[in-house]
Amino acid sequence: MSDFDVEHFAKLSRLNINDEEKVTLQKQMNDILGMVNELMELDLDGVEGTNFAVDMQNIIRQDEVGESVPVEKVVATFPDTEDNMNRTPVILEDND
Amino acid sequence: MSLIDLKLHEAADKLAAGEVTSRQLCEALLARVDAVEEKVGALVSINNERVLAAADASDARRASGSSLGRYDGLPITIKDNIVEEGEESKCASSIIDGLVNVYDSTVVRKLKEAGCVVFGRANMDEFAMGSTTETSQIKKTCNPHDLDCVPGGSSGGSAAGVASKEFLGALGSDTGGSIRQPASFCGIVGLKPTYGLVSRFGLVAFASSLDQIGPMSKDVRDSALILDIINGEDEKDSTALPGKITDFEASLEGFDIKGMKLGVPAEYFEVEGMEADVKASVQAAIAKLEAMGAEIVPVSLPHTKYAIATYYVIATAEACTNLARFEGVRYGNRYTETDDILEMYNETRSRGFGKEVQRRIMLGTYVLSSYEDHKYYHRAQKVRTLIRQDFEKAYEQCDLIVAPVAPETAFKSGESSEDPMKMYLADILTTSVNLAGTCGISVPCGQDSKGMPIGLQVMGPALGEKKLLQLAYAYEQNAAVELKEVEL
Amino acid sequence: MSEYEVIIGLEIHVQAKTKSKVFCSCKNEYGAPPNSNVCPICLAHPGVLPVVNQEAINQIVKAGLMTDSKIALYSKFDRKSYFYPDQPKNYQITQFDLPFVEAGKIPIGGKGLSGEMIEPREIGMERIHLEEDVGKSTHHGTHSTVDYNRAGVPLLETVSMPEMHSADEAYAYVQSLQQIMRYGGISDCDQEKGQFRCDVNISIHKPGTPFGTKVEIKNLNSTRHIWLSINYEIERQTEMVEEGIEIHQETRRWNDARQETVHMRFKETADDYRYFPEPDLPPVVLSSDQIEQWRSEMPMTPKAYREQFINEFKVTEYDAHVLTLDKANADFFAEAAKGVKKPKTVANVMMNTLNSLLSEAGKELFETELKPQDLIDLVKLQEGNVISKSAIAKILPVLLEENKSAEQVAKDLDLVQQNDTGALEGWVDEVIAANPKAVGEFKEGQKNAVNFLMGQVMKASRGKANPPMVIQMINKKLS
Repeated sequence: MSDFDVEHFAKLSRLNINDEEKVTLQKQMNDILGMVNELMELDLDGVEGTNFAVDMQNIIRQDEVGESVPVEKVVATFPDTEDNMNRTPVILEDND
Repeated sequence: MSLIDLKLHEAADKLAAGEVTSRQLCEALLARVDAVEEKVGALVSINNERVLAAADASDARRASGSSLGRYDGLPITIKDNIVEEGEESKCASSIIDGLVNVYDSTVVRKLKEAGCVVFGRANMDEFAMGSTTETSQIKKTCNPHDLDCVPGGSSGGSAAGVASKEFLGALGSDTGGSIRQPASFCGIVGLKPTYGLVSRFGLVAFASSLDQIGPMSKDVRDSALILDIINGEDEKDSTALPGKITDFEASLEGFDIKGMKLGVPAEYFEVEGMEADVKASVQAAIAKLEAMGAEIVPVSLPHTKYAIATYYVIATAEACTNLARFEGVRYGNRYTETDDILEMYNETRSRGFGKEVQRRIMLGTYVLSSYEDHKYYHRAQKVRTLIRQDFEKAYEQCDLIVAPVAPETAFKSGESSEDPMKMYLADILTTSVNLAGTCGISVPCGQDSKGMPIGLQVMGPALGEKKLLQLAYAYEQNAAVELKEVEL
Repeated sequence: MSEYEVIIGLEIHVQAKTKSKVFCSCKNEYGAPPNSNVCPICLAHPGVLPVVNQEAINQIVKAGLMTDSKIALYSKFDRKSYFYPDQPKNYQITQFDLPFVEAGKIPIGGKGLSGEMIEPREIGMERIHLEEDVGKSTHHGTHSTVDYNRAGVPLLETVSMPEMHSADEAYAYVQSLQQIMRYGGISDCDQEKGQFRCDVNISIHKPGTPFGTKVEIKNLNSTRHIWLSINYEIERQTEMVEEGIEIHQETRRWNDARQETVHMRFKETADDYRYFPEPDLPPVVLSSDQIEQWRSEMPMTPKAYREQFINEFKVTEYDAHVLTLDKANADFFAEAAKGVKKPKTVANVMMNTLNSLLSEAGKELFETELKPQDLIDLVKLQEGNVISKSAIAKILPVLLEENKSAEQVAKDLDLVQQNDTGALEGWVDEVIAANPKAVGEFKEGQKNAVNFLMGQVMKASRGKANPPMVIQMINKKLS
């Protein structure tokens, strides 16, 4: 098992981690992975994974239009607004 | 007897008999909050005016003969991760600060339709991630039985407030034990329903396939009463089970324990860190149940030791996506000292989320990453199947399973917060029920040598709540466990 | 360029027509005021849950059936994680390994945008999956603004096999797919309204050698841009290979002002979208009976129309292609063709005269007064020699504008043919007498002379003479 790549996963998680935290995190995450690694012991051939917590299917709604939230109420929830739109710093054309 | 000592069902009877008004109940509770909240720290927020307005509205309904029924006027507290329109649901975090909800969760809607008064918002571990309520960014919650100890978590505020008599009953949420463990630590009753019995619409998601809202109360009857109100199908939750059950409370009486088979899983008594007092107390409770006429059968849940690893993989995987929406773009606390949107995300999230939440987000991101070819996630899903099958096999031999809730009783604050592993391992006896999607309840069964409460966990198959409550009720009535009186 | 083989695959998103969004009940509507069709669910407020819309499933199944695909008996939704401000949850509910639709076929044919004919064949379609659209962001230089009305609109993502080899083929594929979506009432594919968006994957290699490195051109919203950018890319990549420059895996976009593709970013590692099953949505299980029921209700495909036109109305494959480009036209033709002896005449009128009249007027057929019955009447007049072929072009413009019968217009314009032998004979004799030179040439065996003479007869009759009768009469008189 390799060391947890704090930097990579912090970036992917959209978190800034400072150098001091990195050291603590590195140890903590390695410990946690050690625990998680117990899963590697089991022989799981032929076992189906549980994708869903309930044994239900086809929970579908009819195509009916319901009420939307009044625009002034929506806009009031935005941290910053412009012309009833959510104003943000410049969005890069493609950021991943 | 003071009004704050009432159980919900007693309060309901008194309201019906006209012996007390909802306003009187709420005022008594608000006075109690004033008196002890500073020590206990159970509530994130409570809006006295709103509480009293709702109480008055209820009293007016009763006076005019248009009462909404048995529950009209009952004050019930909700955990801070349950959405109520016009209020903030901070989830004990700072990252959603400022978002005044524009909708009601289904459980809040059901409470309101029943006439209940939403009596404040209970403290919790941030985003329900923790077992001590210490990860709350809002305040510290103390165990009313010993203020130096944690109340358990993540529904620690709900448990502590019921134990401290600041409120009569509460809703908690249980993803890996977050109702049962704090109930056990605080000496109250807490029920984690079958996945899907209670709508999750409006419960701020931690781990979508594991989360369930459930009752936390002074006694078993109150849990049944709350469950009667909040359960039922919901067109807004695709995972809510069909139908609605209305007689959990009504079916408590007249139940005969004789011939009921109770499974005892050896694995649950052998976990690391199991305290002798806990083991002895739970074994005594089992002996009592046997004496009452139950048949005790040994059962095996062989994959118990993998439950923690499985749970942390699945829960964090789901959580890292559920918490991706908190980045300061559409609502909440936005970091504004930058023009760079990536930096805005990163700073908003690093400042807004506490360390435990950040750890779990990173773990979840890791287990889902193609970096590891999903190996942990896929394996965890398979082990989840094995854990579910363990229960299915066990329930072929018994009606319900009895075991401890946690290996230890409430411990001193600060003991686990620096060592996440210690905190994680404390969930060993509760997470399996969430992974299996079944139900479980914690009922007080004694106290340890320091006077801290110990809970008996009764587990049942999917939709086994009725039997679960009946057995827990029978035990509670017969065992008449007396906990040390809370003194604040 | 022929030295290299071009490999093209297309990923196309189309917005499905529904009343409400795919996972909440907000209106699926283009052009509403900003943030007026939003709710806690499509804004990803804490605590909300999705519930899937039946009509979105109906639409994707219909799309699957109309592309001759396999409809999955068991499908599920997954979460695809990526942070982007117009994606409210920062994950998209989509389908990863179990989409509703797999293994379809898209027929191509007709002419490419270059004008060249395309060899008719079928392009494989790997899958169609159902997902949600994102909000719309506008960039203002110093900041951006986001409107979430579009967030949650149902999207069908179709993924082609990498089986196209030219810009024309890609163009034909897009055209065919749009046609199917429109015929099915699945999507209008209106490019202006963003109902249709395309990503192109393209590489070149010498036949017999491994495939080249693929370059992605993202977010093309017009068929013309797709065509132009592919041709540009083929040229660019060919030059690079010729000069020995390595092609890197990258994402580019089309810059229409500069008429070239421009670099967006390199793909150093594969995207890490961290897919996993959406725990909030139980799987969708369809029965074979249900699918067969859907199949029986499926609208007729463009391909079925074409086959009918070729087999029943005896038009050419190319004609059938042109006539079915638009469903309203195809229906018009089908109705008109049934009422005449030679449907080919209707086809020709529609493809030539009518088509150019419409494009001159800048109108669609449905915007005019012309009804299929008018075209039947018109062609019948010609078939019955009541009017000449050339009269059709004179009558049609009036029928487009006015609600009159073809016969009435023919009379109004004095275009009713003279079929009376007596009258014809008079004109023919007159012309023979007046044109001894042409008569002489005819007798010497110059066949062209008859055309000249006929032209003179037509002139004399002011277009009312029946040309076949005239020719017959000239031949008879001069032989």
